[in-house]
Amino acid sequence: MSNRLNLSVTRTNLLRLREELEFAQEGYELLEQKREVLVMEVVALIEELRVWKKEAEESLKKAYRAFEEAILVLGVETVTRASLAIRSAEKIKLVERSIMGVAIPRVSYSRTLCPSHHQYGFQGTSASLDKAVYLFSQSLERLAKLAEIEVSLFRLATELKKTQRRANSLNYLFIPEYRETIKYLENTLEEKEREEFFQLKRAKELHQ
Amino acid sequence: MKFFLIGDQQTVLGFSLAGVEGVSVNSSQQALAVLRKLNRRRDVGICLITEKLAEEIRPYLDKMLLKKRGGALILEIPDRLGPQPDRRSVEDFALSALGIKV
Repeated sequence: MSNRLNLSVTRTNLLRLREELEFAQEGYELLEQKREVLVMEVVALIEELRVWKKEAEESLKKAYRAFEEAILVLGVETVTRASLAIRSAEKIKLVERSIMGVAIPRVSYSRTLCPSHHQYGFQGTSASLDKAVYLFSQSLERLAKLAEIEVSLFRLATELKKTQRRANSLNYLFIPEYRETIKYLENTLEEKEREEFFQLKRAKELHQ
Repeated sequence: MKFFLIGDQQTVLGFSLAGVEGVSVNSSQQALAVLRKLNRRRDVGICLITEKLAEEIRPYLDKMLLKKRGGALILEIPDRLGPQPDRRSVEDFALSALGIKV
């Protein structure tokens, strides 16, 4: 049995509680709807995440391997020197939209230069460096998409948890508490009414 | 906007081949300091951070991702040695939110 609220037994309180119960029930229904939408979004995004995560990790692995090869062939110093000449060719744009009040980022990615465009001298560098440069640029594009999905999923899942907690506390705590209190108030008020009625009747009988 | 990287020296050098600006840090304190500074920059769209570092400052990262509207997205990436084993991924988190135990 749930607890009931500690209120004085008055008609005003009863009316107020009835209103509040109705409000709580409406709130619960809204939260349920929100929960359903969030669940759908989260499920869809998990699928997407699995695909893109695998792809991004693989392309990153390849890039790291090429990078290590370049270091083996050219040495850290040469690679560092070459890297100084490289300017970013990536442009990203962030747009946010909102699902159920959650900010969902959308990343648009563009490359201003061709990934095989050479920015460092041919002399002293080798094809292994070119390969590493190319592969890193390529994995950036996948990482941009992955960032979008991971952040969206994280935010949606957090919101889902919050919504669930709220819906549960309404459903299992507040609403039963209100119901219980309303029942108690109704019973007690009725009892009082009967008592009064009876007293009145007795008084009438005595006066006749 | 562009990418930014927080990681170890090797990772930073690797990504600099793609023109990504990066800072190599050795401790979680340093990583935090860099992140805080990053908050004030408007030109960084996605901040990459190596999983090892991210693990150490997770509470701060989570807060940043949830709170900042219009702030940089943060993505954890594996370093040269591959993904960290038994790390709690976003996917696991989402599954637990759905009520599926992992």
